[in-house]
Amino acid sequence: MAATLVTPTAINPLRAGMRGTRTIEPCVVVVFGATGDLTHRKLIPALYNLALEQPMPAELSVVGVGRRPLDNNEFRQQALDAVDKFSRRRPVNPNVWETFSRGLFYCQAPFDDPDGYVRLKNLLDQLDRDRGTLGNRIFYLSTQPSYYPTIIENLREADMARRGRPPGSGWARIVVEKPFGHNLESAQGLNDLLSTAFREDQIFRIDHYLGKETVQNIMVLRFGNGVFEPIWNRRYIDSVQITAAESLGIEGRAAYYNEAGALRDMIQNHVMQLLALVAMEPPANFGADSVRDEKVKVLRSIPPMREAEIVADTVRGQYGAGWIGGEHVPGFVEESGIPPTSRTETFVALKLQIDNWRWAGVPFYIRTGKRLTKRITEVAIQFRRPPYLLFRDIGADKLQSNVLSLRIQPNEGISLRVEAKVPGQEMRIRPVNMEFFYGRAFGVEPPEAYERLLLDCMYGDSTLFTRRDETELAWGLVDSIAHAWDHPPATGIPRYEPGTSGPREADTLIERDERTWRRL
Amino acid sequence: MTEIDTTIGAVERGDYRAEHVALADVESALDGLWREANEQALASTGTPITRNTVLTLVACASDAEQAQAALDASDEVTAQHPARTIVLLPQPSDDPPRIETTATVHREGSGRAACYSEAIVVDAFGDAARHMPGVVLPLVVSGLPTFLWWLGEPPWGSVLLDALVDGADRLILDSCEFDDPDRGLGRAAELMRHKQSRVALSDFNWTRQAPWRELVAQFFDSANLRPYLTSIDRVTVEYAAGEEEDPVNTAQAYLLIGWLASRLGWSLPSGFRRGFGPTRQHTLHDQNGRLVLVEVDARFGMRQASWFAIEQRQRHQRALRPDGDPETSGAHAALGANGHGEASADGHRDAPTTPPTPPTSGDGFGPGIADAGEIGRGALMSVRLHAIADGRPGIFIVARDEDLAHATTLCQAEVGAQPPHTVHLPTLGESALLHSQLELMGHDTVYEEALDTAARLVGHDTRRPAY
Ligand SMILES: NC(=O)c1ccc[n+]([C@@H]2O[C@H](COP(=O)([O-])OP(=O)(O)OC[C@H]3O[C@@H](n4cnc5c(N)ncnc54)[C@H](OP(=O)(O)O)[C@@H]3O)[C@@H](O)[C@H]2O)c1
Repeated sequence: MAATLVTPTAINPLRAGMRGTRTIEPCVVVVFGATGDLTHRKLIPALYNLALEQPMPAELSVVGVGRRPLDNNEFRQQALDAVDKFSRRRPVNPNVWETFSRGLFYCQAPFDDPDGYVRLKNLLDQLDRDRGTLGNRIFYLSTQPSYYPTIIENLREADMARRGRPPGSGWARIVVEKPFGHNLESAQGLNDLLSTAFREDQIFRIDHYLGKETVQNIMVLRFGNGVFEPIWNRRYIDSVQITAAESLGIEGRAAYYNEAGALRDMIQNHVMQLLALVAMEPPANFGADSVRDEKVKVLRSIPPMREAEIVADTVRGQYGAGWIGGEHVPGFVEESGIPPTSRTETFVALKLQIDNWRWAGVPFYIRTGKRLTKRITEVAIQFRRPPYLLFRDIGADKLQSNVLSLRIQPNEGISLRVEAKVPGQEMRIRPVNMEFFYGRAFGVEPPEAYERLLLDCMYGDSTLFTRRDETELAWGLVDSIAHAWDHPPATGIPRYEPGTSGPREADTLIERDERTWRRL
Repeated sequence: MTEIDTTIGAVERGDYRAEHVALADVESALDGLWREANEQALASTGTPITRNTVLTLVACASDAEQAQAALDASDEVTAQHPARTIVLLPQPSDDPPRIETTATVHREGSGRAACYSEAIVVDAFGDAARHMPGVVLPLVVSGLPTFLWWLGEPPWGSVLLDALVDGADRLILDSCEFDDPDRGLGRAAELMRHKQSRVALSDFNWTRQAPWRELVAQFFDSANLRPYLTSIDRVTVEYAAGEEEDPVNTAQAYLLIGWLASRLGWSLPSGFRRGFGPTRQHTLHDQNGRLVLVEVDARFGMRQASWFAIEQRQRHQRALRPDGDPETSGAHAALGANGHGEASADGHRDAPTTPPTPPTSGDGFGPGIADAGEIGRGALMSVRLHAIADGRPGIFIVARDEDLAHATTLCQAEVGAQPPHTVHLPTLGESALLHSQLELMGHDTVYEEALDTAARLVGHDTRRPAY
């Protein structure tokens, strides 16, 4: 590495007032699983879009690590095809591609071969010299999770993890994809292993939901507006519903999904993250640890569910065969790769409590599933009904309470349902939705979640990544449910028709409390 | 009252318009138009529309073409900034004073995705043209931010400018449209200084230039190269100019130098002499008192055109091109209509979300763009920095590519190589520029300091007491 001239000033004064005031230091992004689906679909397009929209340093380089014999040019061609197919900015800009692709390199290295890591290390050192990447690296694990341990151990043994390096001599960060373990024990095991090689502040656990603009907007909406915080508690809020519905089936991920099921695939990570953001106390600041401390407090306040509660307050289901949009779709157990006896759930509904001053007594109803009516992810805050004495004569019982819904996808936005008088002589009242769509209101296309997350990782900002304790607390809760479901093992699992809102049992769960699910 | 429907690209839009409305009747005419729009929306979608306004935009035009450009731009940002736009077209003459207004409710998009804004065009004839402030101020929506957009070079020091600025929170200028940029930058800085507590200033030209500042800043994001930043001894900024006898516009060049100098704490020595003509030299002092030689060079022989004309041509061509950038042509919206694939909630299969066509950044790249030889007036052509740190020289260059639509960086320094880097330089249209100004709240101090320094470089002492 070239010698540093003088003690460099810590900040770049020319950055003042710029969109990216923070500085991205030159670095190499090392992608394990260079030819994989996630790499092609998300990572390469995200890196290219970042380069296109400029805040990338000129030195930025990408090294793909994979098993197949490829040379740099073949790898670049694959990357170009991926961008051509999956980028949100098309057609590819040839000039920008030209410079971007000169920074793409391939390193053939089977994950379990220590020699491969030596080759990788040599390549990285060479890039430091040729492209000025200053010894900084981001290792991105875009492989099957079974390879995580091997890669982490090899990085540690090859002295690439840099746990103990002093600042200023090049940093290393590691990005870990989901799923992060398959239960509490395996998550702890993975965390323990990671911590033998990396410090916690070097570890970036991806939950791409956190990269979505609307999810970040939950915090802005709550804490940036004076009107919400005073009523964001049990006195004014009746209940909260969190929905993460998909209309798709398992789409070729049979092996993974059959092992995981909806509880592990969605609730443990995405849904718990949404819940924590909605329920947390205002953080002292928006620093990574302040925000995550508050989220952890929420997760800690969810009391472990006893078996009787699990029986009463959880519902699972599995989609059967049927029709969706005029097309016949197979049932879950008929999907290729799924054993006909599988009892894996493709739908979960839960009622959770958060035992703290703010939320005691406010139920959180959660549901997620595949092959439902439509694709929608939203958080709906149901406010208490005001006393309707005034409107008794005009059918006060028909008045609906206010609902604030935060839609995560699609059509990201916020809507508030209020009651309004129908213009006219009589007093007639009907609900009106006041809607606000982000796509429309700010016009700019929100960047892909992966762009935001990669950028944050380059900045070294881990606010939008999950911390060890968050992951483990969420697994604790999920484990208790999964355990109760398996003891005794279920003999059957409620079926639901594709294209509906899930099994009837889910309706019962909420109707018991004299509430109903929001229509999908 | 008429409804006029048009479809441009994939965005359906329509206007409800009332012409020849007396000034006193403007509000009630607008109410009527909103009612009409509402009835139509109810009939077609079953949902009433909301009349919401987040700001007032006052656009001051000097001819009908400018007035139309202002209206078009504000229509296009309706979805992002539902506004009341007041377009002023003063036409002073010896005719008897007369005011004529046209009220419009504009619909952008259709069905439940439609957004609405309203506009009032005020034509003032004769002596009435000299008393516009009294016409405008009652029309401004109270309690919301007011933006004043001056198309062309404002009449510095006039009562009209003064009064309108006093009623605004932000004054938006475009220094590439100034007839005399030296004077314009100077007077803008002067106005800024005198009205600082009331009004913030912004300049389209500053926004256009942002990619250049970004590229220059990027060199020094590398800790290895940062020491050069405090040892720059020579800066050369080259800007596009036409034939040697044509007038030049140095505004972009001076804003860039003003930015560098104010960020790096360079000062103008006493007895500083301003330069004249298209090519100039200045000597500044850096923070350690060392000399920095600054050169502003004209690159003659460029085919210059108005930035907006170029953007419009590019936009037009993209619309014609069948394989056009799906982001900026109708293909994008068509994709949205098909639903383009449900995505799994775990997101890896998410198709990109498709908001309605945003004010695009006008990506004019790719083959098939004719007139690529044209360039916006006074556009930056290259920026070169020379520095010596520890006795070792470093050269940092950002240069516009031959296709004029990209820029490439080059860095020659003994420590730490930096590979060359090419980025696209979009040509921004009025609506994209307007959109970015309307998002700004409060002072942009980096710009204001750059402007102040630029003004002093061209020979204006903004601290002069008189205004
Ligand atoms: N893809 C998605 O939609 C999706 C969704 C959710 C989560 N994820 C997560 O993202 C990660 C990557 O998933 P993916 O779908 O992209 O996986 P994938 O398509 O199976 O890709 C795996 C990659 O790893 C390489 N590889 C496998 N074994 C190797 C070995 N022994 N040595 C060297 N390279 C080896 C493969 O190279 P070869 O081509 O040479 O075999 C391939 O490039 C996983 O953690 C997954 O859970 C992905």
